[in-house]
Amino acid sequence: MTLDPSEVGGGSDPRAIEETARSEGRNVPGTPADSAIAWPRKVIDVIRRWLPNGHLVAQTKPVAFVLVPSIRASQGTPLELLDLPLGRSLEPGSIYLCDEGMRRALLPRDPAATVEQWAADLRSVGGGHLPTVVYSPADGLLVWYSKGLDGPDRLEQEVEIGVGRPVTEAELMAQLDRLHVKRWVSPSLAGVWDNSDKWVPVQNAERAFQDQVSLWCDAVFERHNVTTEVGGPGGRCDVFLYPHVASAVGSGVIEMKVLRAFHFPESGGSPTAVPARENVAAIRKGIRQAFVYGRRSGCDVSLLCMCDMRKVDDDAIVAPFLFAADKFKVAMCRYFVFASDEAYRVALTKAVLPE
Amino acid sequence: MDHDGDGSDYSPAPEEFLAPQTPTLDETLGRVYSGRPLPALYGRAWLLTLLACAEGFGLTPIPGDLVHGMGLLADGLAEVYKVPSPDRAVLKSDRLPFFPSLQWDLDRLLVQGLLESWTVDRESGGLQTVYACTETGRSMVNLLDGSPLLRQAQPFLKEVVAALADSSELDAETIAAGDSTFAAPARVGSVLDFGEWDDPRFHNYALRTTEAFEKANTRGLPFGRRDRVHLYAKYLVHVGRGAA
Repeated sequence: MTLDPSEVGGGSDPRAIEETARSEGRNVPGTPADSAIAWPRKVIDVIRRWLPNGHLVAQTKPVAFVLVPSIRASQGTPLELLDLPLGRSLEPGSIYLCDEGMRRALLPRDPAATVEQWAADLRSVGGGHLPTVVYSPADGLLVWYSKGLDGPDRLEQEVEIGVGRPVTEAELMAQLDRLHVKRWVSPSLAGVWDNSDKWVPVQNAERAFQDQVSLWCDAVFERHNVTTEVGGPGGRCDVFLYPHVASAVGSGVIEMKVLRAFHFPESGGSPTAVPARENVAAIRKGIRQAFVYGRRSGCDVSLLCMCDMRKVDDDAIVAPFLFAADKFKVAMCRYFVFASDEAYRVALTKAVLPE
Repeated sequence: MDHDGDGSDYSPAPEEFLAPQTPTLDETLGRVYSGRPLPALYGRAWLLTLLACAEGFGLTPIPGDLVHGMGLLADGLAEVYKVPSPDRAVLKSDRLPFFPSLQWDLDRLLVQGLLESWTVDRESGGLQTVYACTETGRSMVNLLDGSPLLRQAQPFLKEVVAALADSSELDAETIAAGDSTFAAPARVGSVLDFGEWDDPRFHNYALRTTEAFEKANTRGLPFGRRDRVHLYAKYLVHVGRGAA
């Protein structure tokens, strides 16, 4: 399709518009810049770009990336063009002070000789309270501390390099299962409770779960773009995975729904109880959304992911929708989020030894 | 004094000019330049947010002419996010975009200690002023989150700065040469109105350019507003490379 110069007008260049849309349409960020996970996703990208250049995989010492409020006001040896490895390698035992754009970094210390020294160095440059990503090459594990090493929030996951898993229903479900086990199941890790003693989720809990899913998928599906809040006819899709390179297999949409006992009213104020019919309505709506978004984008997989923050872990709420979901080819998965570690322990022991 | 009108019938008292007070002048300029019932310091808060974001993305110290270029980008693309921009017209020049109201706010933010500036050698010779956001300025931006209007604008402003940071080739000259509104054929010295009085749907060519991306979309899902802002920054680089 060729743009007519009069269609845009002004000083626009129709040819450049077409070239930009074609060549760069798949290279736009998948997450809003103001999202909490925008920066760790950039770190994952940098790790992926740099690692093939080095021998870090054989090392046991980790590297850390610390997001500083002003790189200009920080001290260290500058490292330019962080997004282009240019034959350089990540230094084991190093700490990189970074800005949000990940275009340059500072090395505040020489690489540490031991893990203990590295940990002490990391705290001395603010890693205890500033957003930090730690990458451990020995096991390919990335840990994202959104409020620093000493903060309450951490998300652990493996960054896959050169694997490029296919986006299939089984694979997506398997990854969500892992995310549930590693993060959501335990209230101390989930980061989605405002007051877990009273079953009150954080405000905009869907967004919190959505961020965690998109960060997780970004680390796993290397050959896919993972993008959130994709608009279009019929509404906005929560998480969308589509091929980034020709060798990528499959595409999928994930619609996120939170089932809950309490919520914060949109008008503000104290949390109020959520009637059961609202959770039922959310599932019904979620199936419709997953179906429409999946069909609209020609996806191979349409998935409805329900994060269950109700008081009781009960699958009965989903049962009436199994037929509809099957008919619309929408896969459903429900993950119970325990409100206390004790409740989690009780559930685990009951599974082994029913009363 | 009527603070709610559009400023068209506002005639400042003579003493305001004879013995100007900064707040009075600010109000006057705010009304003259905005022409809309936006808060008087909206433009200043908008600019401070832009520079705080630039600090976070490591773009500082940022040359003064790029601050105006960034202002042009933000003003032109604000319509993509449906947020009100402080300026919707720019003077056509044969060099770089310059917003008197932005410079006015820039100077005041400096005096207030929310920004800092110094001069550096320009690669092409001579000196240029560069700006950066202070810690106090960044704290102030966190407080601005309490304003519904600015809370609405902040995600957009951060996205503009992120797009600028992603395209390292974008400088003031590239923006001026490629921006669909500023590069529009017009007489030097004329006012390019992209929404002040004229309908932005027809006269904001940056907005129209972002809409036109969709016609060449091959990725299988529509471009959202975030995509359009980032594509526009990449488009400017494309145009700049073509011109080079």
